[in-house]
Amino acid sequence: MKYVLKKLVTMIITVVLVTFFVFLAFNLISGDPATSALGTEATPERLAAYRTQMGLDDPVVVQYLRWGGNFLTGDMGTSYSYRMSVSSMISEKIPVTLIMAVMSFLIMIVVAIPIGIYTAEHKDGVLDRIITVINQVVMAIPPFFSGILITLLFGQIFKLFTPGKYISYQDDFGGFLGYMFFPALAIALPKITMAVKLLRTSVLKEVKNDYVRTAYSKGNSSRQVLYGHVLKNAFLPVITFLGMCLTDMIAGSIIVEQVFSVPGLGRILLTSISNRDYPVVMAIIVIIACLVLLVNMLVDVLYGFIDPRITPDD
Amino acid sequence: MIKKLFKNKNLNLIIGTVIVAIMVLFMLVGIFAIPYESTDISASLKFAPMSLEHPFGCDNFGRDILSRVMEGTIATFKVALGTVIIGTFFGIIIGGVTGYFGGIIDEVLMRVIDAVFAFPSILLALLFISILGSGTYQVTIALGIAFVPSFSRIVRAEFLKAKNMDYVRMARLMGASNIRIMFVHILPNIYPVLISSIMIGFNNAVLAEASMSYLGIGVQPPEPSLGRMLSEAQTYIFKVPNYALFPGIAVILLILGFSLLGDALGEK
Repeated sequence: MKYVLKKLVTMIITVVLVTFFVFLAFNLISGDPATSALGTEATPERLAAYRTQMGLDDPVVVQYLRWGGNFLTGDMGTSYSYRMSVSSMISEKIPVTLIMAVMSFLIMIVVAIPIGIYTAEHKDGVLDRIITVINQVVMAIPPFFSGILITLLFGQIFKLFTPGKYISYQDDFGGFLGYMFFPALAIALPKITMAVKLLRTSVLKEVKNDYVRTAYSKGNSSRQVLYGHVLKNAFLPVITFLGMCLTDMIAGSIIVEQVFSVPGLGRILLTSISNRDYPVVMAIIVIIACLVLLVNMLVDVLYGFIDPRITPDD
Repeated sequence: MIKKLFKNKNLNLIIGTVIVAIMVLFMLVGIFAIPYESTDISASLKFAPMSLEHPFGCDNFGRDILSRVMEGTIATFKVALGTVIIGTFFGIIIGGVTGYFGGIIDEVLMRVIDAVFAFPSILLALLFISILGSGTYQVTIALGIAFVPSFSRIVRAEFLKAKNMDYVRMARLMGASNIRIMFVHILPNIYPVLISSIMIGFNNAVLAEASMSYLGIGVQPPEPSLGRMLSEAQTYIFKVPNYALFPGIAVILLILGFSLLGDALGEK
């Protein structure tokens, strides 16, 4: 319990640091928010009035605290270009990106773990060699290019989905999942190859330990040793990697959303960057960063439960 | 025979070197003997098929795809190289200082690094781009900064390990200054680890640059870049698959070559 609490505190400190960093970056470098909100033709008096109204003359820390407090209550500011509240612009998009990331994570686990175990079990077998070579090549394919190939293959040759015809999750959840499978697959592909490689190496390294020999000497079959003893330990480094993958997938969706024209967070983020719509950019970056930190903390906590050796002094 | 070849651990090294050599040759031809001006537009050559004059065919503006892939590869390579140089330079300084001296500098810098590390590199690069604006230099700087945290962590871990080793103690006894110990004694000893993480960093940079230019940030048109070519080619993927295929293959070969090389160098 103490361990969980400690991780929670570390996470909160990092969240504060990260958000302050983002806030500072946008505040100092992005120019005058008053001019951005009112336009360049606004009179100096109106600009000054706006500044006092929004508290732009206060010290940075005060401004940050106010912004952070508003952010927590769901008030993320107003978009410069759409004149809408940021939270209403992005609240519907968060599930899209999250579902996509979770789907690609599930695809990765379902595909990578059996392949990883198989290749380790049949080390140097013909299939292991073939998989290793394919793995190495697939690892080098950027997700957006595999996305394009998937569109070509499944969208236009096999006609399993209509590229560019996104189905909203509010209209037809089944159709939405059917469409999202393909972008999720594109995000998952390179991660699958890395997970297979890591799991294979990890199992092979674990097999060399003394306890494996002991387990064999007790009369266990090699299957029993593998599933009962080795895998438990071999999964430890993989779990850290899987956590990193989930965060990468949340970020990676920004790019793959463009390939499949999925209207998620990435789409608004990119339009907002080119429109210099800073409140939106800031909100999305902070949300994604917090999601990443949350996942990292959960992985750490999970790790502590799985491997009791970590808990006492760390 | 094939089995024997596969058992050879140097296979990664051989294939990696061959692929990298091919890509370097490809870029050298692009620098010194590019077949066509990569921005020349010609209406009559729109989607010209692959032929002897245009081995990779022509794109939607009748531009030679081979020349564009060459220049795009060079552009990507430059950005990746710049990124790695920035990342390694600051990574070595930050990692070296924090690992070697420890103490309060270490605590503070590592907290900051951790906070920066919380951002996935693409997101961090997008953050910097929304501040700096888009363009080749901005992307290089943004990606470079995005790679500093991971480099400095690796360097820090190596410096921590090295600082209590006998050769460092000896050097200290002989009166070598801290700077000298750090850069003349420790740095050369940790380079195998650095080389393989530099290779990984290079690959990530190639991937990130291609993704950035795919999103339309980075190299600005009409200058060719692999990512942008792919995003333009996507519209015509069914009609003119070669338009998307060749830039895609160039990215894959660049990443594959350096990752095989990195694997091989890291194994030693």
